[in-house]
Amino acid sequence: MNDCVLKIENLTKTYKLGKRNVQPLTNLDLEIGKGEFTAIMGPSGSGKTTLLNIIGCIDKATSGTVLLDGVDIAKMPESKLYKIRRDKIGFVFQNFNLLPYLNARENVELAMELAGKFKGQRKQRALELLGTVGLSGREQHRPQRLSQGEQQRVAIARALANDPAIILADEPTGNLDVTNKQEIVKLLSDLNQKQGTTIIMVTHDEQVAAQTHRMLILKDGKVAEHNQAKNKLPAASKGDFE
Amino acid sequence: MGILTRTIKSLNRRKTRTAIVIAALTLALTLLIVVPPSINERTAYTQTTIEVMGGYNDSVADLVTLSATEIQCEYAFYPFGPDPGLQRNPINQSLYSAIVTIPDVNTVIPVLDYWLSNVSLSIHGVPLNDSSYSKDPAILPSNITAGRNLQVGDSGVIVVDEIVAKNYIWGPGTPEEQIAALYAKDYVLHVGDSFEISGHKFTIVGIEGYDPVVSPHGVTMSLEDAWAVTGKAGMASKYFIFVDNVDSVGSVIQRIQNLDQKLMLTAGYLQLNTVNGLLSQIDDVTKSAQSTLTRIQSIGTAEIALVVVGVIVVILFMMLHGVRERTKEIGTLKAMGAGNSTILGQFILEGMLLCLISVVIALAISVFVMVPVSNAILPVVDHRIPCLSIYPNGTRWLDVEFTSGSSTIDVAPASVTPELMLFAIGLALLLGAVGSLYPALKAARTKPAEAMRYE
Repeated sequence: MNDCVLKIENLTKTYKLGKRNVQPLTNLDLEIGKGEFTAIMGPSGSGKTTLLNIIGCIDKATSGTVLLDGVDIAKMPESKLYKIRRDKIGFVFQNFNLLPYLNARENVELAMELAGKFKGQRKQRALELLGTVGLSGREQHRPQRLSQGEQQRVAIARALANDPAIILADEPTGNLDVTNKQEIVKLLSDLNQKQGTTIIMVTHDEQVAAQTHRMLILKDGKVAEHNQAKNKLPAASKGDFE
Repeated sequence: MGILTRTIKSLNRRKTRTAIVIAALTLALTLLIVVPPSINERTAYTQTTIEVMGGYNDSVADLVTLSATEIQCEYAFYPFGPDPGLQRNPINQSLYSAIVTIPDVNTVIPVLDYWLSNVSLSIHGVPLNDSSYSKDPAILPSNITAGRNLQVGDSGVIVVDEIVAKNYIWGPGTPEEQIAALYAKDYVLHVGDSFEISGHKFTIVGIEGYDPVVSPHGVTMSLEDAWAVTGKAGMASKYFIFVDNVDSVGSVIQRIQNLDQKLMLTAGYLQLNTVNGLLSQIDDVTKSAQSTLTRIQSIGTAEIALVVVGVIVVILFMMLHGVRERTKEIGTLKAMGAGNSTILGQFILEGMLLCLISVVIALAISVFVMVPVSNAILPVVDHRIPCLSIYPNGTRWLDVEFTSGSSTIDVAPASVTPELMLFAIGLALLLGAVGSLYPALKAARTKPAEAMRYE
């Protein structure tokens, strides 16, 4: 696939839980096209978060290949993985994970600071991104002075800061009320539609998943089925899965 | 917003805990700042005491060397005797020959003291044939204030004392001239001047200053010259006899006395017991100072070690707690692409910053509490030192004792100097880095996936 941003082959993850071996992912194959907005669903323990963590380079695969933007991250040592996380991935967490002692702008800037960008450049970009997510005028507010929906917007702005190849969102609407949930999904959808951002989102919410191009359902460590969601892809892409 | 700003904001967020930790560190670092200069100050005091006592010991030993083996031998004062110039009976040459053959007698120095009434001068003649006359200031002047002293082989030269140099009047002089001479401030005789005594010409080579112990000598010259100007060839008014060792002094005195019962013999060895007691006192003070010095250094070192460990432990536990509490934050930072070195640097910087704030406060406090704190945690030393007085009674021999007074040792007091500030800040930063190293490594090595799951 020419526009494939993520290609996973025979991915297996095993870890020990006490004396028991647990295998949340078994020989999983998956392809995600550039600009695709994909939802991953599945029951608890089906391996959704584990898959997201491996794609996001914060967990290691036991075996298999994970090509992110053409680079095999499965066999990469930690000393190199942090650069992949920094330059190619943007995370959005269920609990937002904003640093409480930094304001909205500083939280967004932090991602760019870690990438070694200059102060002036960081500040301008942070203000732009906060404007994009609808938080103009709220830049100086610390997380505790923002609503949950606003905090998640800051998190999304932070995830976009370094122009990542892919946004990984782990239940981004899990802690939000209905209104905020709709706004965040719309924001992610808009980013995908207007900017062509590739997004993989883990969610339990079928209504949220329905806003994406593709819905994957994980079961027993594999992609059990996929559904074409309502939205159409902004560009040609396809996923190969079981 | 750099790493430093982020660290400050992070500390500021946990105000109460940060304040408690800074208070504990400030207390510990205050001790760390106070102890080294206080040890130095006390070491200087005790070392000065030890040095001064060493000097006292040497002085007393010199005095013993000078006086304990010396015997002075002369006849009784007899101003109206057959020779008013000599003022006592002369010691004849046969006695000299008898004394030098006594076992253990090392040196016999015959001296002629003669009052020349026709020129109103006291003449002091000393044999200048060896250097033994320098053993006793009573033999040759010891306090030369201008020119030089007499030397071996000198002839035709003299040393005059200050009184003669200021007051001497050539010829009888009028009463007014004599009064003016008594109160003169300037010398009328100078080094290099020619001076005639009873038809013999001399050159003044030195002026003898005032000596509180030894009587002024008048005009000092070689014994041969003294014999010539006085016309008392071969005569001596006094013998200075030096014995090989202190233990023999008693027996030598007895043997000399047996030669002539009328001879007056004086010696300092009888005062040796007193001097030995004094030496023992000096030794006691020295040992006490050395013991205090050892105690100060060991207590001080232990306190420094304790504080260093204390600071490291406080930082270690504070940072370990911080790492555990901020595991999710560490996970977030790692997910955002922070490398191990970034996490390591942030936590080490946090430890160093805590120590830096604390040491600055501690330095400010130390300026005011240096003395009371050092007195509370280190042995207090006496800033005074007993004074040793040699010849306190204006006599010679072994006249030496501690006076009732004391002098204060002049030592720079312990204080917060710029060097101490730099040292304290450097040490505090080092302790902060060392204390936070393990927690920082622990944070840096945290696996992001585990950190993200941490609740």
